[in-house]
Amino acid sequence: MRCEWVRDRIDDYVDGELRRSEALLVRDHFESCPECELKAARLLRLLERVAGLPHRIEPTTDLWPSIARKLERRPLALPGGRRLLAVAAALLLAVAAVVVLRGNLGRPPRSALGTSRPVTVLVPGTALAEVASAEASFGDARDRLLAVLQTRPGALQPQTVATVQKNLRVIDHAISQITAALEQDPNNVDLAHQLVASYQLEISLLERATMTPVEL
Amino acid sequence: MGVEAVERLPRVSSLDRRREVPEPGKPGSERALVEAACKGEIEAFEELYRLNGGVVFALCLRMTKDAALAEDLTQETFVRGWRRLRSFRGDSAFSTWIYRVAVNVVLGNRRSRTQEVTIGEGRGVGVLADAYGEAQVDLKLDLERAISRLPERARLVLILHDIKGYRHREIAGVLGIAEGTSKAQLHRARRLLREALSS
Repeated sequence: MRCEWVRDRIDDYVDGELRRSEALLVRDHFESCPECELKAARLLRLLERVAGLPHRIEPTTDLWPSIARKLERRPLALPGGRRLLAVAAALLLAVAAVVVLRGNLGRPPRSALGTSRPVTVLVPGTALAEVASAEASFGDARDRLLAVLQTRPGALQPQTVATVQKNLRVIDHAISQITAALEQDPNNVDLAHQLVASYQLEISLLERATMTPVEL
Repeated sequence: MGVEAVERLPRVSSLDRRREVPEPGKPGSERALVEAACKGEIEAFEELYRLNGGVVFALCLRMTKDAALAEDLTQETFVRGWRRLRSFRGDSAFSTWIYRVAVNVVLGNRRSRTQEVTIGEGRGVGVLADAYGEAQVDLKLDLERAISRLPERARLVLILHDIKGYRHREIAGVLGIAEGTSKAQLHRARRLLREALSS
């Protein structure tokens, strides 16, 4: 058994991630190779030190008052007509932004919005519940795509990233307006449709920016 | 001597997974808090913050290396968590869910990517020293400094795997990477850490 083969597997061995047959080979090798065994022992000691670091570190100041203030400033409903106008205006902006961006970013990935994404159908009387369920999928997808966007800094021009972020803010604003309107009128299917459409716009935008199709 | 050491290795590694074990009664109380918070009870959400804020802050501090920025990101995590609470389906513990939100907040924050400082400088050192207390504070700060010098991705995977006890499958899911990539990043982080601590 070569030391190189064993050393490539020491991390997995210590983590208990090797298949049993391979783990036995590594262990047998240690009996005849104190150097490799020492490497494994050192790694184990390091991992024990790392694991001994605190999982919790308390901030020096209590952050809750600041957090609570922001929670109290959740989107407030505007008076009826103004609220709907704001929703319509924000959505219009969002749609325009996506249309512009499509031109800038070229062809979409194969499973991007349009032909293959299933359409969410909302049933009267259950609008809010349907939206809550859809929010989970969209929220997760959004987070994944944002992480991709942030971890591929060289893949897009900074101006494009800035444009994507600006458009996301526009769509987020639309979402917060529609959410506020829905809270006032939970069974309004039209609003729920608008909300789901906004989420879909957002995911589509991110898919195009990152060229990463997601399954919802 | 050799056989004894060899026999010890797999046992320690498989038992010492460092995954949080739920305290008796904790899941139930957490669920009740989440349900109350979903109904808009801010007091319940405050309790969830009190239970999880320190864990989120630890992640933010290790990733940003800056106490003030870590505080901002911790706040943002909980504000985002509050907004998305209705979408929390209870498939995992709230602590796992909010930690995932925190990872995304940290990765999504451009400011945290431009930090050149090393942990242990500036305000960060006081926060960490307080967290460690008197015991072995120098030794632990050396380790934190070495971790803070790791490349961002490798550092995050090391924190998730070796401090938080996540498995590669879970890390792959959270970060949107392949399991093999997670392993490669972890092995790289450990190698760099060993080199830094032995120099």
